[in-house]
Amino acid sequence: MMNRVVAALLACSSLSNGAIAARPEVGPDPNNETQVLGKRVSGFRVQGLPLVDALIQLGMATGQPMGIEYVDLESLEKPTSFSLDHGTLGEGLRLILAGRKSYTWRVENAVLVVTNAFVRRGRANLLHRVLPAFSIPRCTLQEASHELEMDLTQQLHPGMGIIGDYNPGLKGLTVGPLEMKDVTVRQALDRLVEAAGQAAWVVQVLPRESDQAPSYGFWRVVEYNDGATVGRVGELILRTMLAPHRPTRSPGTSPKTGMRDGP
Amino acid sequence: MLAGGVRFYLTELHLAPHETRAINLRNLRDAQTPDFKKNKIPAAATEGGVSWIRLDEVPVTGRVVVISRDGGVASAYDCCTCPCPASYQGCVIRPPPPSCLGPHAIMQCSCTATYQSCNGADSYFDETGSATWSCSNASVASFDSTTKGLLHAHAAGSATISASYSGIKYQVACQPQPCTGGCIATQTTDSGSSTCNVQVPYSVGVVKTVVQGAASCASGQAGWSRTVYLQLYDQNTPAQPIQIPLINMADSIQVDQPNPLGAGNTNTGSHNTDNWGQWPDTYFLCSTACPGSAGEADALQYWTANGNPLGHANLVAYKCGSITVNGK
Repeated sequence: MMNRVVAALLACSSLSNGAIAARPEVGPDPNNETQVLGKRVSGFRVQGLPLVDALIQLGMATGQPMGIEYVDLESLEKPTSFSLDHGTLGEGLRLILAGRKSYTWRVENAVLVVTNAFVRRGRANLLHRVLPAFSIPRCTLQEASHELEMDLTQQLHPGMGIIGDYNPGLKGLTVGPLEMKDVTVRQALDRLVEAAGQAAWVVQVLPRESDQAPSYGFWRVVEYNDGATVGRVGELILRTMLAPHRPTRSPGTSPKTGMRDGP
Repeated sequence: MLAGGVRFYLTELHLAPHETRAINLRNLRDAQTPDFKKNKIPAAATEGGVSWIRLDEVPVTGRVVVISRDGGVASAYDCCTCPCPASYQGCVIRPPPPSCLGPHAIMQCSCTATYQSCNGADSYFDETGSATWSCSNASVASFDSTTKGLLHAHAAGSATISASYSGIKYQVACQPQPCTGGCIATQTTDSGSSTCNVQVPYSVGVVKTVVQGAASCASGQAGWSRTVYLQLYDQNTPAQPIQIPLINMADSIQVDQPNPLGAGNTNTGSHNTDNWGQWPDTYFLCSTACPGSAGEADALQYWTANGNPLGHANLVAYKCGSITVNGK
């Protein structure tokens, strides 16, 4: 098993000009909004979860890839409760977003995208940045998300070196190979979660900061079968946003160490 | 219940006066739910034995009914031969140490009483709700005032937690049996204890390397990638692993100067611990100075566990052909 994981990682770390992933030509059209919103859901219960988690629970209940391109503090932390015994994805959405008039949704690139009238447009939002090319070999969804983040960082700071760490998602969903040209970040994210199937992407910056790329990532991808994350997304994003020790993007001063030997 | 060499216990059965309760052994087997000793009835078990005791001095009649698929009710047996109820022996506290994460963590303790009767092996009953709970160091941990056995951890340290329970020992009043003298009951108080080590997340260390090699970088850049498993450790010396799942670990990286690799951007992620308190993490470097440079970018990696900053920061050394964490 470990050998298989290692092989997959090495394959992912050697970027090749892989083939364009083909979309099946038969079966229901995933872009058909009526079909997507008509997906059946039964026994849907949300108890005390923030809006972001409620939406992801709905995506999980219907197996619908999802993108959430707007978050604010309320959507990340205010508990909500919903119940839908029998209905459709569309009915579930209306139930969850009732009374939140600024929220809307659309089906695009086979992904259900939940947005808000206050989301920033154009170059004020990094989701709309156009990447001349984005390609990945077969790799985990988390690695693919990291590759996309690296490409965005390179566009924002061309030629500047980058160091860090990321969650490789060793036991998670896999995607690719994929090759896209002249694609916005949002379109690439849509393509990734659509290819993964059981996943969603969620921005993790507040609207006023949507033109900046924080070191902890502009977005996160959530796999529906990740029991350690599903149901905690709002909480985790809040923690990430508010975590102490967040260095600025421009290191210039030597940090205080204050360390003792670790294990 | 004894089946396939495994003894399986029901420890929370209360009967009201004159109540008849049916227990479906097949359902118990098929549910594969472990008992308090983490034993499960073997899934393939088709035969076995059942024994029971009574803890109060009231008559209890038990019966095992075997239902045959072909022949309906095939046979029935009665038994309950002990002249007296089972005798209380003592109380064992679970979970055993090390058992706490703190501060602000809670843990449900249990007191499982041992009983002996003439009817075979020891039997057990959950007396958590009837026991009296105490903790030797209230600054480290204290018990909830309303929920019996619920321990609140407050600060790093060690404390002895105790449960005291008053049970009854029985002995027959006359010998030899059978005779009609009844049973002599003696109230006995016994206690069990356990050590609670309140662990505070303090540091993160590398457990093993999964894979490493040339990183996938943008055109004009090269670098190194190393995937490792990390472990969360506590505040003790030597550090003890905190083997608790679902702790959210997030980090940030601050590059030190000089920075000969020109690594001006940092990118980090977040992770959840598994059952062993571990998680995979991929460290990476991409730089226009690679692969030719022998330079090194040193960085401090600060971790938080569930949003709480750890006291120890890791020193990560990034080179074009290697990445080390605290020298490893």
